[in-house]
Amino acid sequence: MQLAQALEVAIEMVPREAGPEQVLAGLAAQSSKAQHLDAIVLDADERGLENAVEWVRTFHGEYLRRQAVAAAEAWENAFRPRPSQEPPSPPVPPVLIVLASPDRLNQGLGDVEARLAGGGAVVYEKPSDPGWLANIADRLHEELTETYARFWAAEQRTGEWQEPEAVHGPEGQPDLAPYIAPLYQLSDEDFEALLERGRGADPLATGE
Amino acid sequence: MADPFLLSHLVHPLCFDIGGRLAPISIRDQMVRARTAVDRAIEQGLIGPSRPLLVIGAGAAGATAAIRSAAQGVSTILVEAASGPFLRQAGCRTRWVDPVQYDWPVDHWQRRLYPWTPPAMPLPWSAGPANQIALAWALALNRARRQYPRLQVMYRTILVGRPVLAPSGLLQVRLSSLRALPLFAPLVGAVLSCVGSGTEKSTHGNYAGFDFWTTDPFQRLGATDHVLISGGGDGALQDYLRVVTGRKSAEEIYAQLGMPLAIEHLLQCA
Repeated sequence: MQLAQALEVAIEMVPREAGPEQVLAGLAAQSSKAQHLDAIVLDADERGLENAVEWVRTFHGEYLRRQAVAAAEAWENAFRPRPSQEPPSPPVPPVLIVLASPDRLNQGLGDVEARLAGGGAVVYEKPSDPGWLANIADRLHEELTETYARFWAAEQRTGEWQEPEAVHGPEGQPDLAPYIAPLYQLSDEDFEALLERGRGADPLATGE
Repeated sequence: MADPFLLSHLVHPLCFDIGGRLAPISIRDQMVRARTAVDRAIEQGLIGPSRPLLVIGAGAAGATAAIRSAAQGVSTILVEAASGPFLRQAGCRTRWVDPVQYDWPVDHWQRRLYPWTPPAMPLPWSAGPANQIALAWALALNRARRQYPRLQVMYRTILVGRPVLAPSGLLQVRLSSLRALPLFAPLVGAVLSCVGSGTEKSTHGNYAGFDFWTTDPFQRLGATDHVLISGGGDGALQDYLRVVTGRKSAEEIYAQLGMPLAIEHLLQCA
């Protein structure tokens, strides 16, 4: 991805009364027209933090359920050693940004943020300036631009940002023997610990 | 000839762990390790057009590995137990994360971005608050999902049990959705575990610190409160800075003072 593209971001505010299903329906309609949103912004102060957590959980839960049904074939196909065809690209959910005023967020010492992040959202402090919300897309765009400003300057300076170079595998069949030998492998106990860590994104944080 | 980097991370047949088992490790090093693992796995023929890759954990390392792999034409599936990527950073408003924090006095230290020279890494990173970086990365990951159809991302999904080596030389893995969807059992060429260090909470005897990736617990200190900060790592130094100045980073202080980075550089040299 060229860095210039990183600054082309489509962001919309979630309407005040809109529920997750309503927003998902809108996204599905956009997706059918080959349009997409990069991010949507939910104002947690309008709904209350607990309701916002529930909104995020419902939104992503329902999105993942729909995606799993719709993309099952794509996943199966993608993981055949020789896919029958280039798998269709399932729709990608927009990044969900939750805005909340610092006063509310600071009451829980990170508890709410952890639950929102576990639910798949990025947490932002809501600025006190009321004009900020009115131009939310522009403001976040500004912020992203600022975040990338040095990058941007560096890219323009070098003028040589590159696509990833190709890495080549061996000719013929790979030699798997060193990578299936037991020499370096974890014990059952340690491997279980490894698996446990992979499950450790704390489902409780999302209330499930 | 077997690759020593891959062998050093081998934990099970064709399964490699570059995550928190080997912590502590900086985010930047996680990225380098992820990219190296993917490149070496391709060079060794462990993954490729007919040998998909399973990546566990959608943090900085996992996303780097997955995007890198898909960009090389490898069918890649990225699974994450949470509902979204970059869990730790996405909920953290108070940690300032700088890719070159420890690189002073090298020239690129002043630019505060990574990578500082081509070739590009999949997740470009400029110093800033963790949640802003998480947003930029999440957008980059989604862009990659649109760009590379062979990159499939499954949230709320975990690996179940040890992968089993099939006679074909591929691994049978079992993936389970936490939302109780049907078990998915693809054959893959290799598994790369990129599960990190968790909340990075320090405990020493009776003293337990705060999670690194959490909200600043020092924002509401009163005049009579006392804080013990133990350790001299970046977490402890950031806490000290915030307690004393109320600012998230040295860079914020310099910016408030209107001090050019060149002056900051001179101060550091002094």
